[in-house]
Amino acid sequence: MTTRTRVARLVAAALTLALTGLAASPATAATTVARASGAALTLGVGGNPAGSGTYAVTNDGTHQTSTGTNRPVVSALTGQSVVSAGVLAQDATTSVRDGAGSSAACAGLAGQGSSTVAVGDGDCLVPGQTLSLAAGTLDLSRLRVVDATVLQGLDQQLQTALQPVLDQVVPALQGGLRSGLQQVGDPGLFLDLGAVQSHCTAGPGTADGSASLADAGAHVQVAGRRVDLVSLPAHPAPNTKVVTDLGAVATVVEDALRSQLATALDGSLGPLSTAVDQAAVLDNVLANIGAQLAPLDQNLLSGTLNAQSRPAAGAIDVTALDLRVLPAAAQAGLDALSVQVGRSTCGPGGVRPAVVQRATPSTPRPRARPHVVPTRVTAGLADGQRHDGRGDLLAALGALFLVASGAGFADYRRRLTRSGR
Amino acid sequence: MSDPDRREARRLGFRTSALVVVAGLLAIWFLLPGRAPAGPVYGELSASAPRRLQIKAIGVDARVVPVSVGSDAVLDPPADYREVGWWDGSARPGADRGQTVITGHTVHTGGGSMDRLGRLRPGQKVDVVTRRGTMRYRVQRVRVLGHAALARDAVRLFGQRGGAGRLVLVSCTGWNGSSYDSNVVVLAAPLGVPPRRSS
Repeated sequence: MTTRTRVARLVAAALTLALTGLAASPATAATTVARASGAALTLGVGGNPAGSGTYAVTNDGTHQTSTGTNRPVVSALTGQSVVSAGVLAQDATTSVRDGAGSSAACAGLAGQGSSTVAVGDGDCLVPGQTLSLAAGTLDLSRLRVVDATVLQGLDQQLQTALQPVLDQVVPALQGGLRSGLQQVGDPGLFLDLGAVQSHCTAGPGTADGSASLADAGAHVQVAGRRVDLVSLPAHPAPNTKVVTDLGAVATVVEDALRSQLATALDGSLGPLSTAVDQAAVLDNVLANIGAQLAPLDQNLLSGTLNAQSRPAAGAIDVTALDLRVLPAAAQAGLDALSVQVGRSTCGPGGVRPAVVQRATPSTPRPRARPHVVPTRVTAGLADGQRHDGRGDLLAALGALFLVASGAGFADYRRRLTRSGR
Repeated sequence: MSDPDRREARRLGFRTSALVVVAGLLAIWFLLPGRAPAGPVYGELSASAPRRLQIKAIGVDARVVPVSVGSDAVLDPPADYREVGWWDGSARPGADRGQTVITGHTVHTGGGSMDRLGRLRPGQKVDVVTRRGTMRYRVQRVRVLGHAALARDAVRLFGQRGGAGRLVLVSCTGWNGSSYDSNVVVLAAPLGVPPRRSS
């Protein structure tokens, strides 16, 4: 055999081995038959991400593997100051029955005193106290009394009367506005959460999920008063949009400014104070200040409740609360903030490839692996007679009684007969 | 009949009577309703296999026997419908994780250990007695699920990942004249070892 022939045979053998390996690879490649994940909280604070991370599990048909933690704690949430207390929950699990994978996941955030429940039966958090997240403060210092708008809209007679003293009135109103805003302070925006969570399940070709928000909403703390912006529904339909209304906040601010502005206006009018309709001027000024808050109305918060998407057949992605403080709010001093609470994903799953197994002697009822859970419970009977163990025992006792009595009586009769002979 | 024969006959009669009395006493003892074991001395409870299920609110006091789940994934209660079965693949009462799954029969004509399971309401108490003490649970939810829904939610209801020691009681309900259409599932959160007076 020449060297060339040997080399050719070696190459042929190597190619054969490689082709054999390629042909066999589909059967040996790892197949994911179930997957799920849970993320309790994801924050974006000024563009910087923070949160609890994601706990994810996959199942290849024989083993489940996981990444991340399923025991998140608030104290580990670094790089943010939005959440400083509360209870986080994120968990996921998979199982395989008859080769088909199924999965479940749950995630959420709740207030102090809440307790966590195992992933499985829907909710994984039992509400405790309500948690209040400080989403930022509104900076009202940019509000101005604009010269051109002071007289705008007033009747001509009033405008003519005020024109000569406008140089005194506008600065006085600016001063009144400043002192009024000092009293109002910076209104704080808060998100209130009792227990906000989502859960999902997936099986071969199917996936389902839902979210619940207990005692959830947003409010503004202004001038020592709480003004509710929005109250979120406990069981929102999928992809419910959040709408905010700052009208009530603007009203509180305007009410707080009114007395300061009235004093400033009255002091700056001098002899005209009795001749000018001060109320009309004040209403005009306050309306213009309110108009400066208008961009925030309907645009302070944007978000979706029970945000659901189906990335593939047999898969679902559910987020209980997906909220963003809008760029319009940044103009009022709020940092750009995004909050995702309770994101659960389940599926897609699959079916474990069939494996040819050696025939083994049949056993009466092989015990299932611990992770195989029962899917059917046969706990109903039409009547109980044939299953009553006590009935069997009583029957046996009755038989014993009869046998004992019969034997005794027969022996007694036999003895009587023998003694009579 | 001679005197010795009479004595022998009396002795025999006495023996027969004694046997009958013993059999009768045994029968009475078994006929009497099951009584709870003497009150256990409560203390720290380590995870331990359940022995008795006691639900005062619906008059349940049943012996617990372990039952296994076969490869067919069917959970069968014990053959004796007065007893209840603890799935031996589930958590033992007192365990921090997993869920304790107990099942019992509902008998249409009455007498089943879990005939009245569906009457439980949130807040009511369930006691599971173990060798090491009694674990008390508070009912959180009572659900009725069709067989398909139960199969779909099986991982959530009976899975052993996590669980925080929850108790899951399950039986049948929805008698349609020939069989049962649904399962009733009671979910209860662990409270701990009750104080002696409240036991």
